[in-house]
Amino acid sequence: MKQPSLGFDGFLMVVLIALMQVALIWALVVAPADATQGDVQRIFYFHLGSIWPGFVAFFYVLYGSIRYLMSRDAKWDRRSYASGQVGLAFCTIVLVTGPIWAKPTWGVWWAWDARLTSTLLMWLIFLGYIMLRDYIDDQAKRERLSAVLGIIGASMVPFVYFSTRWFEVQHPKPVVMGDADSGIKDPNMIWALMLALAAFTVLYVVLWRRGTELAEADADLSDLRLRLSALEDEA
Amino acid sequence: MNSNLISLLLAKDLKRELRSKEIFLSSFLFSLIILCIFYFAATSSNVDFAKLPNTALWICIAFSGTIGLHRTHQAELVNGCYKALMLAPRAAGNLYLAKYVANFSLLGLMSLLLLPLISLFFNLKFDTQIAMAVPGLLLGVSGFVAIGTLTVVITANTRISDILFPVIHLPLVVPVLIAAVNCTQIAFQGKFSWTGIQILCILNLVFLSLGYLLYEFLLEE
Repeated sequence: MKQPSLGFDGFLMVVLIALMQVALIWALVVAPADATQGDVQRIFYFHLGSIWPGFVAFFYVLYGSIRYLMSRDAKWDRRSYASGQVGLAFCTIVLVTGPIWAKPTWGVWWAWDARLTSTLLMWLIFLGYIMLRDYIDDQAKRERLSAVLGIIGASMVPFVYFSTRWFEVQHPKPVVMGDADSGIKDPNMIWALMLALAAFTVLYVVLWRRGTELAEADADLSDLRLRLSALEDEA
Repeated sequence: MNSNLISLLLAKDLKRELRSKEIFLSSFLFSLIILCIFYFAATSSNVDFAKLPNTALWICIAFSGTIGLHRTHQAELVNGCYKALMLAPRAAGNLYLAKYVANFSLLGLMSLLLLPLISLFFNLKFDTQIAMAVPGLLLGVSGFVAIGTLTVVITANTRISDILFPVIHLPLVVPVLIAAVNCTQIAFQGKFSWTGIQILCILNLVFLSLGYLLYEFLLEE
């Protein structure tokens, strides 16, 4: 019997598992503990690792929404929707890992600085983007209005990144594209960060592809139901 | 930009508001009630109420502005007025700008009228502290309305528009609110925040451009 081929998704899954293992080992074992914060700093690799695909996901919502409005092809709506869902999940990870780091470092679970608040708001915006679809019955209208909201919502993402520079905040300065006095210096820490970023990026791609497949299957099922109901009416 | 269309729609909206006074009066009175509740909440928590003029001002604008924007659009739906606007031969972007100007006039005026109250209740100097807050206040309200004019149409197409509008609108305007709150806070301290004004100008430009380009897609049936 011929064995089914792994295909691109299978390949991605193998790469993801390997990267996740290496990233975990590097972050928890190989990279040294932070001189001032100690071991609690290690959560930062997964915290930053999650916000990056979160940004990617939201930029894809922007791209997919523009493509949908230009072409009116429903596949772009489904891709944007899947990306929004995955982005929301990554944003949730950021909001959970942030307080876990903040409690031992700042002494509080939550501080209302511009970056934290903006991340929470980004989460709320994309929750709104997902929620909106549930309350519009007409499919074409749902796709069109979601695309418009997706574009508006994604336009806020640059503000989230640059908010730490505009206002005086408690949050650490950006590690990537930050000032000369910010960021990590140890090569093993940089490797741990890069591996975590790569692992979470591949995780985003895997989840987004699955989400798109699910949305497409859902749309096919709806079409079949409509056709079946039309056939029953004819009969 | 079609200034004739904008002035016609602005005149229509203002005339309707002058006759009914429902949006302006309800929003303004709602702001007064918020100020009273805010006073009781602050003093019962042993917070010095006199130190919170900026907080009180923006809470009033955010809540009453949300109600006002939603009500403005609901009033348009009566007797198919909004459908008639959609059918009119015009560029959708111009229609957006007209709605934005009308909403901004109402909410901007209401927020300006809040300033004497804030000055009175919080003992601020009208010629310096309050006057310096005006540019930041108006730019903040402008950004608030620029996004609100879009989101109110998006949520009007849902089954739960009255609940969904604030849920979707308020998180979107927080970048504007953060900048505007910082701007007016600095003004209430007797200084002027050029950085805040610049950020607000950029955000207004981005949001107005988005509205101008995207409004067309909201008008399709």
